Amino acid sequence: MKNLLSRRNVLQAFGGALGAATLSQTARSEDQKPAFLIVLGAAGGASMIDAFLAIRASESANASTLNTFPDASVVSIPESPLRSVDTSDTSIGPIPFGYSTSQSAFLKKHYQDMLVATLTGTSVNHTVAQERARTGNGAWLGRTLEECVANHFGAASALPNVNMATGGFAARGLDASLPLWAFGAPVAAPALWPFGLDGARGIKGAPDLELVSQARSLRDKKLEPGTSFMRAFGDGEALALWKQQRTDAVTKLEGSNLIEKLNLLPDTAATPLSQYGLASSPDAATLAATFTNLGTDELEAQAALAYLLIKNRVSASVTIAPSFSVLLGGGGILNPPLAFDFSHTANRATQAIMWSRILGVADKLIGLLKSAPLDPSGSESLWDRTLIYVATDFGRSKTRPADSTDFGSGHDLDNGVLLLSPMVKGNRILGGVNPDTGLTHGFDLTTGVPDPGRTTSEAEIFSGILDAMGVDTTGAGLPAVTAFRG
Amino acid sequence: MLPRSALSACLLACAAATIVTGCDDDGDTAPLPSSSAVPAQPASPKARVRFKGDRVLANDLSRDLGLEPTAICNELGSHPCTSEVHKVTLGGVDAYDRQIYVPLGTTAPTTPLAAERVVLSACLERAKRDFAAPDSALLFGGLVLDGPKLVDVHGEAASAAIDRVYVALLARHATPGEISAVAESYASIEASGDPTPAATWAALSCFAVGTSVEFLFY
Repeated sequence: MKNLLSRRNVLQAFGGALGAATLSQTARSEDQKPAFLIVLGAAGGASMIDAFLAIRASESANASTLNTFPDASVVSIPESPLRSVDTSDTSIGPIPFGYSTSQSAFLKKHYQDMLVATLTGTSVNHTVAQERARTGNGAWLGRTLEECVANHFGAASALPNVNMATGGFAARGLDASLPLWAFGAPVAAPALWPFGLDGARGIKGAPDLELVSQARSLRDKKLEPGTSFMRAFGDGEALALWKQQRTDAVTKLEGSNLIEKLNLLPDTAATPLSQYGLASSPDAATLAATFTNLGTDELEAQAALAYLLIKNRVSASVTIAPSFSVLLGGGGILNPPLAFDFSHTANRATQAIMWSRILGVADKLIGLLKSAPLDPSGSESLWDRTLIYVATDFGRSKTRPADSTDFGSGHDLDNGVLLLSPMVKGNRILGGVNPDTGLTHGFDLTTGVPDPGRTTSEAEIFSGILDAMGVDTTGAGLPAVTAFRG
Repeated sequence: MLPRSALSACLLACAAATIVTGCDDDGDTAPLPSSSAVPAQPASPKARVRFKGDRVLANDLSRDLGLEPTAICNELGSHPCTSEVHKVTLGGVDAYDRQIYVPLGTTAPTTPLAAERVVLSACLERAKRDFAAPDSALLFGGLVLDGPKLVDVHGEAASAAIDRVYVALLARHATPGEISAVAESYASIEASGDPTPAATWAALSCFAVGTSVEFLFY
């Protein structure tokens, strides 16, 4: 992550969330409903023609050498133009683990909230491409989508932007004029991270919190101010930021009891919370029942924490992503080595398993968010105001050895993205795919009508997402994209 | 360019000068400066300091408080704070498990609380050990106690303990004002009904100094 601490950042941090909101020209108006962004990073290159833009062999003049599927594997439903792939095999390339995956179950359940837009990226370097998937290739002063959403919707949140991903999905944006709280707060270990949201609770033998508070006051008001160190460096940006963060942390994080509200761990012998004066989140049991691999699968832990961050109104934007580390479970492979990028070795199996993994997490998140009301009126759920952006690095190469079902693929700029939200005009494909080449074409940015004469840029996807979420982009110079809007 | 022999001679002379000026009559290292003994510190024009980060924080606490690295801080008794749970928040990297190769550019919103947690744990452990074995105490030995209470917090023994905390953590002596301020904090701890006010005061004194920017930044 780049060090972009500027004097302006620090001044904005001084103002705190509320003050900074007034500095920001894009903060939401009081009558605008909140909205939440979940960036679900499909790390390694999720190929849309291995999912919702799949090509049936019977449709292609080059079926034998193009990445097409047997017709029976491509499942459509009458209600939707979107497709899905149901497939199985006895191995993942050289890895002797069988698999059986079904995208159609997800499609049938969520097609009304699904929008697939074609995209032609600009990099086949993983880190660079991941970053561009979030910045629209620097479309708005290098801001990430998460920062834009946090800046607009998160001024009153304790941690407006939380990022649990790595690599380009975790990279900080470049616009140093944004308030510091709009940048992502990093989370490396989601199940244990909430312990760091309180300075004293959960520490065995810790004094009464009031006494800890008095010790802080002693430090802040009597011990620190007169020291030579403070006289020398007290006006520096790092210390100014620190002092503001120190104050905010106590009031916004510690004061909100987030150490318990966000605590995923059960109170067991292995994690004896009660022995340390702590309790699990009230939602911990529900989350454990929903994410059954919570204890071993960090992506599930990330998703569970993402839900709690949104439900408790801690964050406006949360980013999660699977790692490149192999993960075994349930008698098979949950996460192939290199995630989607194991497609280099075994495209079909890797895409099937990883898409299943991504969609499975999305499905569970949607279910949880649907069951949680947006406000006490109960007229809307949190899901009604959430957008899940399945961001990915790039697509995969479109060809294969003749009739091979076990082939490797390379990186390809041509691809598409999946958006899940009631805030988008769902059950649609924006753009289209040429069944003879596997390459996509674009669409009219206003009407959404397919346009074989153009392709879709990263900036257009970026703009369309912000538009659908209601983020004010006045003056940003973004391409006008209203076709995503629900 | 100086010939190698001349350069070596110069280095030796410099080293000798350092040794001479750095030792007192007894051959011990020179006394640490107290703030009252040095001219007022001017403001640095750049004021560029850095948070010390996960590893330096852990190493410093281990050395300064005489604790094994594994005894500094463990969440729920088994998850190491600086090398696992709060590693990235404290400015560390986690290349092997989480592909985090680059440390944060600035402190994160949650860094202050994570740092406080680590320091408080370490200070509690130091105080616990010192009160359990006063004769071999590192920082809080020699205190005059009446059961769990401290007798004469403004006396020499308590003042010396406060000074030892400063020397251990900040490598300088405490000023009279700092000693007085820390000593005064005892009254409210005893008044709070804390069952072990002397030990709690010791731990919180260490915490107050150990979470100051003077300790956490360099």
